[in-house]
Amino acid sequence: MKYFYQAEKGQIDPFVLVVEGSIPNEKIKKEGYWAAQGTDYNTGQPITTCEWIDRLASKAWGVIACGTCATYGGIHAMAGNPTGCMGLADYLGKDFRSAAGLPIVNVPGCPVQPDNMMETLLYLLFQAAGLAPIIPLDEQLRPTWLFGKTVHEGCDRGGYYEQGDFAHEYGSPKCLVKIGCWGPVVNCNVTKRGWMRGIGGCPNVGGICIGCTMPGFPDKFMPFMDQPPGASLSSVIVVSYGSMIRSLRSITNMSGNREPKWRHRGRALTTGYQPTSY
Amino acid sequence: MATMTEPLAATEQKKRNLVEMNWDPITRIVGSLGIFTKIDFENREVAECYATSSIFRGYSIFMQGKDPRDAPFITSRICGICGDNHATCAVYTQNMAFGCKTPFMGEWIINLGEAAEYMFDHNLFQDNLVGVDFCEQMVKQTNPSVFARAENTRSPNADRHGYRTIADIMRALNPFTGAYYREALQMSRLTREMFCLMEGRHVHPSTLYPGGVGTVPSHQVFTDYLVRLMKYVEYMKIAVPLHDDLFNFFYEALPGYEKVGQRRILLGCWGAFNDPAVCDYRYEHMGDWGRAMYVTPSVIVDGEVVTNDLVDINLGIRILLGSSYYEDWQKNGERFVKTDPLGNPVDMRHPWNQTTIPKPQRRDFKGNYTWVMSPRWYDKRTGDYLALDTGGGPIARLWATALNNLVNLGYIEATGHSVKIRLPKTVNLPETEFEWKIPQWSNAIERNRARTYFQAYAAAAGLYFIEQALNLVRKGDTKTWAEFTVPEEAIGCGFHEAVRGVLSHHVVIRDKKIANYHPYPPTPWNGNPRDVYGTPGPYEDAIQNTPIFEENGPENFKGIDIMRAVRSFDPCLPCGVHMYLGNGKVLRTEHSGIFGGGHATHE
Repeated sequence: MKYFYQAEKGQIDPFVLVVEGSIPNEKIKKEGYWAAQGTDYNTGQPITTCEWIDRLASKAWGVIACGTCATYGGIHAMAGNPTGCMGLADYLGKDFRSAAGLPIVNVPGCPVQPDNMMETLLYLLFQAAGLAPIIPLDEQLRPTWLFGKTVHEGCDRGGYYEQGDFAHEYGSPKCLVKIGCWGPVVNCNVTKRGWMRGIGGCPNVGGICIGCTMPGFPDKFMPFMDQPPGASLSSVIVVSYGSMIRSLRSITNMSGNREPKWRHRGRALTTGYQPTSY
Repeated sequence: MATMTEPLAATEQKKRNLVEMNWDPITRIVGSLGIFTKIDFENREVAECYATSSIFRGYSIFMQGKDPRDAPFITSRICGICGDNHATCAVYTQNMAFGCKTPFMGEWIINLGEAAEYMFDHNLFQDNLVGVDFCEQMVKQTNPSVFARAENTRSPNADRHGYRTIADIMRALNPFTGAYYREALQMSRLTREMFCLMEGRHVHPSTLYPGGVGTVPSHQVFTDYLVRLMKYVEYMKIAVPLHDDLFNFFYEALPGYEKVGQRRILLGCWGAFNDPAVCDYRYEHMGDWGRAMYVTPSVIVDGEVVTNDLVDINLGIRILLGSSYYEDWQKNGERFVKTDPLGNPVDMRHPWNQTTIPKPQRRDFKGNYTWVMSPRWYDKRTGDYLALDTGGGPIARLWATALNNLVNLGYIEATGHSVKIRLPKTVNLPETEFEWKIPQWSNAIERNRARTYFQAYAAAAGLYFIEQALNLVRKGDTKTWAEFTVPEEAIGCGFHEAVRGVLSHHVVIRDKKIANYHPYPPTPWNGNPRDVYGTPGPYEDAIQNTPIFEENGPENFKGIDIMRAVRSFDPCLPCGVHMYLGNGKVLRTEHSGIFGGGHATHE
């Protein structure tokens, strides 16, 4: 804990504050604490996470929220939760600026994709060293190069979608949109990046996208295994186009799967060349 | 109540000079656990110890009214290191409630995923977190004479692992710089890749669903897993003898070290790895498919198996309130489940009937001071509420599997008093057999030793599972998921082993929605306070009896023996931990940091 106390006293400067986990609402009750770390030696009571954020955020060079719980509240902030928890920007305000004038940097994901997180930290180190411009963030304070595209735009099953070829059970290699995947409307790069050294991911490997990088997560995506409302419309449209295009493609595919007629043994040369010398 | 440890109120309060030492939060575990102790340096023992954890989210509350199909996705988020254990247990629970059964291929994929999880998590905890307590930098600071002896002690298995002296092993465990520490980090990554191949992403799986998995079984996905598994198998041929040499050295160099973290043998294991040929997820057959699991479930008391029947295990679970921030539900709470599907009565203090009513308040060490309740197992034979522990997971799993003498996969064989683990030839090393023998004590060193052996066990199990999966791919039997309809009303339960030990989920469904959901992970079993009957919790027993071997006095005290005792349980605090051990006189207060970086500094 010593680094927390040192940072508070200004003894380690600059420092970056990384926050993980949803921020509870400690004000909705008379006493006690939802989440705390370390003991206040004057009162003998634990020091709440909110207290630490109050002490440290405005002194930090930069503040990063790591994972969907810290960025937008996440699973613990679903309807009916008893702690009233929220994301860091809900707690500090979207207009919060760090000591160096930076907004909160949100790296959502449930859990956060490991390389996304480390890459963001690396970017900020380059920025702090004067080697990179201020980090580009979208409206939800997410790095744009990580969250600018949708899951669908990166998914290697997109071809099945375009051909109107949908999975009806889990374990199929086809597009999962009719059995729960929200990919077309979710900002995330997991289908392009994979999970660990390019291995794994979500819909690209058979896991429906549950929208875990989004501020609306999880409530706006539950129940996860139901077809998203938009998918029923789009899949109906694409099925008619898709089945037609698939038949046309299969004709071309059949043709491409047959060699030209002139590749054969025997005395006749039927390639179109008319030899005069032999 | 018959327990071995006397309640502290009954022990004599002799006049002692006590120094208060706090570690809050403890590092190199998962989550936030604060330990407050009073050390008697003259008599070299821990006079009092008190631990608290401080976080509450309320899963049992916000899951009410939600679709039960979402349970695996939601409960995975209980923990950021073992979330997939929760998701798997939730799948088992919903399978029972929905009346469906995961197809064979789906079951092998889940088993392969969980095997990878054990291989990953134990490796990371043992050699990047626990290992630091045994590394050169630490031992030089806490026990210089022991380190000097280590420099002159040849490793009995040096020809197998390459570290000539015990001191060489300790150097290799130094954080960030040690060769073995760094190799372990690489292995952690490899094993997570294996997990991702089976379940999409880690720690919250994307391809796990009630009814099975969405992973597409192919030669490629299993070949990629197998290639990595063989690298891990080779690594285990070095890991096991290396850790045996290190742990045996501590017994030799510090006679009496078996008392560190020791407690009565009261172990719980809820079983892991279903056999798809036997497991139909029906409660009525749960005793049979529990015994068919590839880690056998049991309650073990004083070295004997009391039961290996999951129905008996289920019915014995009781949730007691000790010193925690909740209102009781016994009198006014709803009785959701009167009898189980076999007609047995279900107690009001069983998870099926629990209602969680949080009551946040000031921390008061004399009253309520924690967010966790006290799980106990009711022993019908004696009327005791047993404070079972899992010893961090591996020791209970190996002990139960050994005693029951049921598991025999070729790669793994239980013998009644041991478990044999057979690893095949790998690139550089020949076929190797290890035998984990049931130890004399349930203590810190044996919990840690068991962890490395269980890594080898999980690898051996993985070899068996991959063979089954490849056979199915070759036959064209690739169905991974079973359809189901969510019933209007149902109950379900799931039993599994989280990395750290026993894990159960209990669900009550009404109007197709969750009416009640209570997960019980291992850490509440391990660390909980004195309950209403006065039974102390496992941490309390284990630490109270721990003697101090550290050579430092109060000024430089690191509390290494206490830390080794605590960490041997692999505390995982998202589940919450707390313990309390008595009151005493305070002479003075010191605040001490925890060793954890590349610097050999104390504070």
